[in-house]
Amino acid sequence: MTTKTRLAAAAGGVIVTGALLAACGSAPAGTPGAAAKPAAAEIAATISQDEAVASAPVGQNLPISSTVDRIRQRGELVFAGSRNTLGFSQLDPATGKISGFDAGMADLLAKYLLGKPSTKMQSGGSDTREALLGNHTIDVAIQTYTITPERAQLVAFAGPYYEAASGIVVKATDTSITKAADLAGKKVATESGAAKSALVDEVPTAQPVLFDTTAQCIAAVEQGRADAVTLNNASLLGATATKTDVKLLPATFGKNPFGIGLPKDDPAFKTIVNGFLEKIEADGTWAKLWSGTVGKLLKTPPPAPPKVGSVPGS
Amino acid sequence: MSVLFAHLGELLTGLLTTLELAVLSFPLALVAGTVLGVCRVSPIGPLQSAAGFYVHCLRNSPLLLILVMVVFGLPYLGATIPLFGSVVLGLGLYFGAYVCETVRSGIAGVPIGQIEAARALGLTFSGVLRQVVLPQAFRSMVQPLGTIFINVSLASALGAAVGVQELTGSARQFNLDYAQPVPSFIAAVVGYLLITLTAGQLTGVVERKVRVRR
Repeated sequence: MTTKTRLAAAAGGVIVTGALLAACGSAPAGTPGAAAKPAAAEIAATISQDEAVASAPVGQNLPISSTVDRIRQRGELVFAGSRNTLGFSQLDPATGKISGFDAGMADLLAKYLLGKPSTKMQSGGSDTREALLGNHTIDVAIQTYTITPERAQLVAFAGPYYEAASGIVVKATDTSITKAADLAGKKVATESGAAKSALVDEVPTAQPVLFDTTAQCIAAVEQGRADAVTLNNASLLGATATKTDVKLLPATFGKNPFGIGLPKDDPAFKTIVNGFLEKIEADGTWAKLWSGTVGKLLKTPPPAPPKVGSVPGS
Repeated sequence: MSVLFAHLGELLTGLLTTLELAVLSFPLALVAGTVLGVCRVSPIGPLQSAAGFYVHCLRNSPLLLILVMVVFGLPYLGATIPLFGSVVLGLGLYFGAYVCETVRSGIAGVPIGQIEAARALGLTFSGVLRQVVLPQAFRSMVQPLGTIFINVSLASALGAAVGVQELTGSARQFNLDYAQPVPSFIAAVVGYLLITLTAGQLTGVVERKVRVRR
């Protein structure tokens, strides 16, 4: 094999891969008369937490807490977050800015503790949050982190700060599935964790098929590998906003209360973060953040925020 | 830890899936790799180039990319294979490239004099391969093939990313349900060690049995 052939092979591989990936990104042919929908990037561009952060409060006379001392010495809040959850925490690779409800919550908390919204995100997926909080690698986890009693044995939860429901996406032509009960015995694409637990609790006979990302779940339905997708309805809204061959059903089910994960060994910090949540909910910052992020996808007026400490484990 | 023992069943199911993936993918890789290896040493130019092209493309791509292409790319070409089959196919195609190079080195290990002698006896190209070269080549390839089998069983963990719940996927799910990161990953490590150590031992036994003494 000469160098020339080798280079040709490499170039060929790159071209084939590029073509296939391009095919993966485009909608399959055969959706005639589809109305032009905004591209994902356009939707992402409308989502911003800056307005809420600009007018956010700064904490006064906070109790003594070792975690807050650590954050102040470092000068920034280190949090576990996600890069690819549209509406909650989406990274714009061009600017390096992360926008969404969760990302905004991190900015607000940093401003409350430090006086300026300086944050640093650690994205380690959802497997490692408890371990990273336990060994103080991160200060908080703000990552669509569902409060459960099992997790509350290892970490402390402030909140809930958001109440998510599971939504259902099916093929645009599908009329057999209209509500959660219709998922019985069907193959349902979802992600491991809270989304899968909500599905199994609601419809024990559904067969979950687990994928890594929302985009893969949607592709599985488009290609007939699964009959439906269930994930929290805000992220499904973002994922289906640009597609014409699948639809998001109006029906939702289940409840996923999202909380802010905290180290278990610092009860004073939990008091501070719960105080922060109550403050931003009372002064309208929470509603402003919701309107600038998730509200851009849901297009409804902001709901009443969930009551702090209202779920088991918080 | 007690919660881990209560849910050991789910992890064992995952371990079984990992084993199934490895045991089905490896023969596929073996067949594909042997065919490719023979193509690369054949006297036919186009066959050599085609096999070389394939091996270079596959060996220089991450496995995850290959799996995503098989799972999400093939349907655009009109072939939708079930997820489990897709992962087996992806692993087989990918490790076929590695087996091909092992086959080539095994063939290179057969003394040239033997090939010349076989030719002198009037054996055809396929006769030389089937009766003289490949039997000896495979006997010298046991260790590297064992290593490839271990790699296949570890690489099958990527199945979790495309909807096949194997050992890694089960461990992650268990961790997300019960927030037990350390026990769940230790359990997964023990599962993989069981597979890889057993494979290593078996490889050693087979290798000692079929070794070519020169």
